[in-house]
Formats: sequence, C-alpha cells, structure tokens
Amino acid sequence: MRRNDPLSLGIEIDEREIRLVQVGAKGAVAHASTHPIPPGAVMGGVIFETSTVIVVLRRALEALGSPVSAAFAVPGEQSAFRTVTVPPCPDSELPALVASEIEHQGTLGASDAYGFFPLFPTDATDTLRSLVVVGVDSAVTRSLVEVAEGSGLAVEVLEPTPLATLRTAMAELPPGTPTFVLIVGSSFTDAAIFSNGRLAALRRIDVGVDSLVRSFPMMAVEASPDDPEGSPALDRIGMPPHEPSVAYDEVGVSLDGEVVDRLALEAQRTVDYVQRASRGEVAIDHVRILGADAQIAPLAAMLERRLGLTVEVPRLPAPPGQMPDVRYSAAYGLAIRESAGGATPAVDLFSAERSAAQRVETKRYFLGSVLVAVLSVGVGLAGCLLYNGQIAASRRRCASIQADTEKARQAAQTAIAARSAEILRDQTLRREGVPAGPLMDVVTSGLDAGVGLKLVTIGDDLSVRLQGEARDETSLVRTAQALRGSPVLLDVAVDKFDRDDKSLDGVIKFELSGGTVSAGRIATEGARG
Amino acid sequence: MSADRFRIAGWLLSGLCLAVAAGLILNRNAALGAAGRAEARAASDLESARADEKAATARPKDDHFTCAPRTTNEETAFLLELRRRAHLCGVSITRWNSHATEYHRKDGEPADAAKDAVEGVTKINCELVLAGSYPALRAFLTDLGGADRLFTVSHVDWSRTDAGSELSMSLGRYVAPKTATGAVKS
Repeated sequence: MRRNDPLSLGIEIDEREIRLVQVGAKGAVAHASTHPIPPGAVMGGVIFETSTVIVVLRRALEALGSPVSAAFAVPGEQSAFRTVTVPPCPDSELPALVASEIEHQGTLGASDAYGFFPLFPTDATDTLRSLVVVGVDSAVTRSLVEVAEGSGLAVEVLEPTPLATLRTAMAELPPGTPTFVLIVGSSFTDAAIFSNGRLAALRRIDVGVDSLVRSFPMMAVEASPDDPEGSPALDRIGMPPHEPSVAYDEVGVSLDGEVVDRLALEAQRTVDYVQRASRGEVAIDHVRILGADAQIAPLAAMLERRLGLTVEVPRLPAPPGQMPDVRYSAAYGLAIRESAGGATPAVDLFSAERSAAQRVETKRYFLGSVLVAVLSVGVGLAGCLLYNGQIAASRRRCASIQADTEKARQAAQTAIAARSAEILRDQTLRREGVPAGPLMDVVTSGLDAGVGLKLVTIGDDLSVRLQGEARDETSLVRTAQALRGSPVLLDVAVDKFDRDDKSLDGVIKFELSGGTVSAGRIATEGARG
Repeated sequence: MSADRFRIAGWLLSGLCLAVAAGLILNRNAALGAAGRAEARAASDLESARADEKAATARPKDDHFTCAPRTTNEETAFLLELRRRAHLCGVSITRWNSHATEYHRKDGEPADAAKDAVEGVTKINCELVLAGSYPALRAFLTDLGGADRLFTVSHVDWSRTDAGSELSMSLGRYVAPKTATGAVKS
C-alpha cells in the first residue's frame, strides 16, 4: 500500500471464502467482508483455480478503492512450526545458522518457504537461543503470490494464520501482562505464553475445530449428555470430570467433550511447564482463546470450567454497522501488523522469495548496467571511429587545399618574377635609346630668334653636338643659356664659334656640346606618356 | 545491502562508461570542429592565393611589350608598320639598312641582373634616313614612342636641308629569345 495511504489491508483465503479486513492508521476497522469462493478452488492451502479466486478477489477489492498492496495469510494447517536452538550469536548471523540447522535436520523441504522468530524462555540460565522456524510448502506461497499479482496487489507479507491471529489476541492487552493464548485452527491448536511482553513458549496441540466439532447425529452416539464417567486424563491432572457436550447453536453442531478434555489437558501441561521453568515467576491466571470458527465462544466456556482459569474470547473491533466476528481474527491481525506492538512475533514467508526476486532484479539491473556500459563504450568507440574518419577526411581535404594553395602561390610568385624580369628587361633596353623627340623639342624651343641650327648629332655615348649660325654673340649666349636650363640637356658648353669674315652681316658660326640622358629616364611619349 | 552495492556499482560502472564515452565523443567532436575550421582557413587561403595568382598572371592594361615573338614574318610586319607610320606622319624613308645582334653574357663576367634580363634577346638596329619637315619628323618620333612595342632611338643626326630636315638615326627593336617565355603580344 502506498505510504501516504493510511489504510492497511489483510487478506485470508481459506477453502470456503476470502476474508478482507481494512484497518485505518488508528486501528479502527474500515472494512470487513467475506466473499465465498467455489468449492474445490482452494484445497490444502493451495489455490488450484487461481483465475476464479482472482475474479472474486478483484470484485472484493473494487469496494475498497483498489488498493495496491496487502498482507496475505498462509493457512496454519499448511504451516510447520519447529523449535531449534542455536548458539549465542549476533542477529545478523541468525539467517545463516537457521538455514544450516534446517538443512541439517531436514525438517523442511528444499523448496519450502520459511521464516523464524525468537523465543524468550523464562529460564534465564539457558545460554542457547531458541528460535521457532515456520515453514510452508512453496506451492502454497506461489499460488497466493500468483493470486495477489493477478489481482493487482503487491504482497506486503505472507504470514501464517496462527501468528496473525495471535497478534489479534494480544492487541488489546497492556504490554507485559503474562498471558496464555490458544489459537484454535481447523486441525491444530497453537498454545502461546507471553511473559514480560515477549513470547516465552509456543507449542502446537494436535486438537482443532475439525476434531472438536461434531454434528448432532454423531454427538448423540459418541458423547451422550448422561455420560457418568469423566475423562481419565483429567483425573490424572486433578481436574474434575468433563461435563457433557452441549449443543450451542441451532445449526446442528456441538463440541466433543472428550476432545475438549484433551485440549484442556495439553493446555494445562503447557502452563505447568512454563511455571516450572520459570520457578513460579510466571503466574498464568487467565487464558485468551481465538479462532476463526463460531464454536470458539462455547469452547472458551467449556475450557474455563475444565482449567479453572478465566478463559476469554477477545472482542474484535468491527466496522460501523457490523457485529464483531471471530472469522476476521487472522485478517485483522494481518491488517494491524504495522500498528501492533512488538510483543507478537512476525514472520514473512515471502521474504526469501522477495529477496530472491530482488537478487534477480539486482542481477538484471547490474547486467543492464553492464550492458549500458558496454553499449556506451561501444557507441563511444564507434563514434570515435566515425569522428576519426571524418577528421582524417577533413585533414586530407585540408592538405589537398594547402597543396593547391602552395601551387597557386608559387604560380603567382613565378608570374611576379616573370613580370619583374620583363620590367627589368624593358628598363634595361630602354636605356639604350636616347630621347630624340624631347631633345628636338628642347633644342627648337631654346633657340633664340637670331640663331639657326644646321646639324644636331646625338652620339651613342649620349653626347650631343649642335652646329649652327648666330646673328650675334648675344643670340648665341641666350641660346646656350636657354639650353642649359633644359633637364634633357646636360653640361651644355660652347665649344667654338668664329665669325665668318666673308659674311658682310657678321654671322657667327658656332658649335655647342653637351650630354643628354637615356630614354629610360624620360617619361614615355604618346599613349604611354 | 549487497544488492544495493551491486546496483550502485552498476550505476557507477555504466555512469563511468557513459561519461568516458561522452568525453570521447566530445573530444572527437571538438577535434572535428578544429579540423573543419582548419579546412575553412585553408579554403580561404586558397581563394586568396588564386586571386593573387590571377592578378599576377594578368597582362597589364597598357598592353606594352618589350620583345616581339621570334617569328619568320617579324621583319615584314615591322617594315609594313614603319612605312604606315611614316606615311601617316608625312615622312619619307630615304635609306634603310639593318643588322642584328644578340645579347649574351661573356664567360667569367660577374652576375648582373640587368644583363641576365636581356640574355638571349636579339636587337635589330635599323639605320634610317628620313626626310621631311620638322613637325613631320617630330610627329614620327612621337608616334614611335607611343607604340605598344619598344623602339629605341640612338645615334641621331638631325640636319637642315634645302627641302626641310633630314633625320638620320638608328632605330632599335627587340625580338624575344629562342627559348624565352616572356613578352609575347597577346
């Protein structure tokens, strides 16, 4: 059941019906109901017609708001109780010791589910630890678990009916009260003695409702009301002879006085044993008796007369509008499992299977984790390989691009070098020429009005010679001066001049020399100029 | 408790492996990103280098060239062009002769970039005698200077005659070396 759900559900399935008890957080019974199941569906504690029982249980659960978990009772007749003693040891080592003891004694089948709880004997000198081992055929637990799972319920606990009923019987008692409890089952009666709030003794008496209750016709033959003789066994323990069996209801059933005597005898022996073992420290003055059968009340009255002790039937709480009913004693004990004190023992016969299931689940989880780990490593490696492939391809492309880049750069360098060589060649060859055109412009523009040229020579050594005639020295000097101011003509000098004596107008013949620059130093004319 | 330990160990194992795998993947992803960026840089460099190559190999806009290709009709083409230019300028060619020389560096001569640049180039000198007016001669020289091909003028004798002016000069032109790759008029 969910943690935030305050209701606790106990379920008992026997051969005739399903009993449900739902208890609130404060112990109040919220729901109690029985649901008949077809005869033969459950036999000997084993649920043979699980589908039928599941249908009945599902319908019953619908009225409860579809709880998710419940505690289930294992029939007491199918449960074997064995007392074992183990050396003093820590509680953590008890499971291994008990398993070893069970294997050694062979008291339980290899596949039987079992649990154990401690006894606290009244003899304080006993150094061995007493444990009660409860075992049940695994077929019983498997069928119960199958029904629970088919009904959508998680199994909180599988507990034998006697222990659940014992919890019910002790529910209302103040802690520490010495109490003798008889849990009457169909085949057995379990006798438990509580001392100092703990279970001091537990024994199983071979008397149950099946042997106690007889129908009227049989009773008329086997137990006459006029029986003058008491039970020999009762005589031996000093009890008064048993009273005749009496019919207590109107459905034709009654209790067998001899069987009641036998039950009383065994109960008295149990009390005597405990009192002897405790050296009189445990004083039993009343008995609580409980069982699922309607004959519990008359049985209590008969036992009270035989034992001379107060024998009472605990009054079970009932939901509003219902009468208390002892049939719910086991289911109620399961439902109050969480809220009851620790006086009564608790056994979970499903714990081993749950642990096994948890181990299987843990193994599955672990294998799943390993699988996830392997897959993640595989994915990582595969991713690595794929990435490495892409990285290698990218690097190859990058290397190819870099090679192309280098080629392009080399081609550019080659082209630049070729262009440089071409420019150098052009400049070198251009220096071989002279600027004839500009020089002619300079010469013609620099001539004075009284000067005329006859010859201009430009040599390969960039020397320039000008021959001409001037009207007078002044014109010659002006011309030479003008030519000296030209950037194309260098070092202009008058090499010679002479006056022509034959000439009447005094014409002067002159010769100028100078130099010029190569064409490479002159801006290109024309389109490139 | 044991089961819890196993579960915790399983979670730790799977978590560790997942973390390792994630680390590997992230590392490789970063490496792939770096490789992609390097590839992008290389592509950008290639584009830039190709642009440089294209710019370097492109011919200049003025289409000027120093040496004409060495072809069999080079001289014919030159004379036709010379005659055309002289005719357009009003200049008459009264005398013409030519001779060719080839530039070669002498053995043992020290390395010179300028001489290396003209190694193998053939220079053809034309001894020209031109007649015409001064403006015509001047226009002819200007026209030669503006030509796409390089012409050099040297050894100039400019004299005045009764008819006008006479210009005697050496007109040099250049032909590319036999194995040279440069200077080809497109």
